[in-house]
Amino acid sequence: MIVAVSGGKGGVGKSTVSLNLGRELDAVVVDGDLTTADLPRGHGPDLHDVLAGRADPLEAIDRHQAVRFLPAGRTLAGARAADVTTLPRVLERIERECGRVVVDCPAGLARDVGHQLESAQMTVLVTTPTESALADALRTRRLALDLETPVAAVVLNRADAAAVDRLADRVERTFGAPAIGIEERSAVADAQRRWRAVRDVYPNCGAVDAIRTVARRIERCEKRLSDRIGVV
Amino acid sequence: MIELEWETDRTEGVTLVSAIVTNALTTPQIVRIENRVDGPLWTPNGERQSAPEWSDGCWEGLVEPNRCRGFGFATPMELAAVADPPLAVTETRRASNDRAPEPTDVFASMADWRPPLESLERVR
Repeated sequence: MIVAVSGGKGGVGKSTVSLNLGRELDAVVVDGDLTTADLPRGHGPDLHDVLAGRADPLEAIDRHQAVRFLPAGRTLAGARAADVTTLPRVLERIERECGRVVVDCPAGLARDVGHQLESAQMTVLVTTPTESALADALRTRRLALDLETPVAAVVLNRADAAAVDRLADRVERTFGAPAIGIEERSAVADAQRRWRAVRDVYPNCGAVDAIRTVARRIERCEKRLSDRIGVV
Repeated sequence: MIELEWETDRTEGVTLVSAIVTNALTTPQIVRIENRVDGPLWTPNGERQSAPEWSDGCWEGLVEPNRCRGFGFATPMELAAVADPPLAVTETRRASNDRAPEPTDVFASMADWRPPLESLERVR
């Protein structure tokens, strides 16, 4: 199963959600942001090398504590040499060999995001409870649906309980998917700074439950898909 | 062009009419097909809930370009009493574009991917 973590706007917490979902789902987290990588760098080849045909996807997978990563490259030359049209094949290969894949999509709605959404069986939209982020998330939703990738859940990131109460119903109606709030907490930011899942650093943090809810939701969608078509 | 093929079959006191409608046009079409059987009409799903594409003895459904769709109904009428043809296309109209576009169209509408200017600052 390939899950794209997308949302349109930058800085809403896609990478944080990707990393934590990767931990929860025991997935390989692919840093799909080819120019402004947000996840840790690896020790060997990276996604630039893979997309330029210089490295095998499997040898580029690295591990940071409990999470497996396919890091993005850090050079402009590498980004230029990367052929994004090969991305679907790369993601499918990792899925075949490793099981689950979580793709941390970049901000914006250029073709790289299109290829990532098209490869994924479902997407999780991440947004903060602000108008501009919600509008971008809606645009991403439209694109995902055009590419026939359903929205498994909407994460209202850095939203306090009052904002979630106020927005959840409307978001669920507008997006046609369950809304799950993750409160702003220093624990979440601190774990992310260390490239670790919140669960591994602050197991009692409320965000752990929220991430788990999103993961369970993805697993239910995965099960429905596999019941319907026999394989995922 | 919209083409219609049908077949009738009598089994255990029931006449089955099955049909295939083919859309050879390049745009999706909504096709309305009237049944010409003068007698009871048994559409799929029984009495409690009729098939969504059947209403008032007519079948109306969307057929994608270069695709075909099958449908059918049953009737207790004798084979000889069933009109020939048992079905007739009464209306075809182009479906609106309110549906998922092809991925190639979606990609064509998207900005080309290239490293943005701000990535220059990130080169390490």
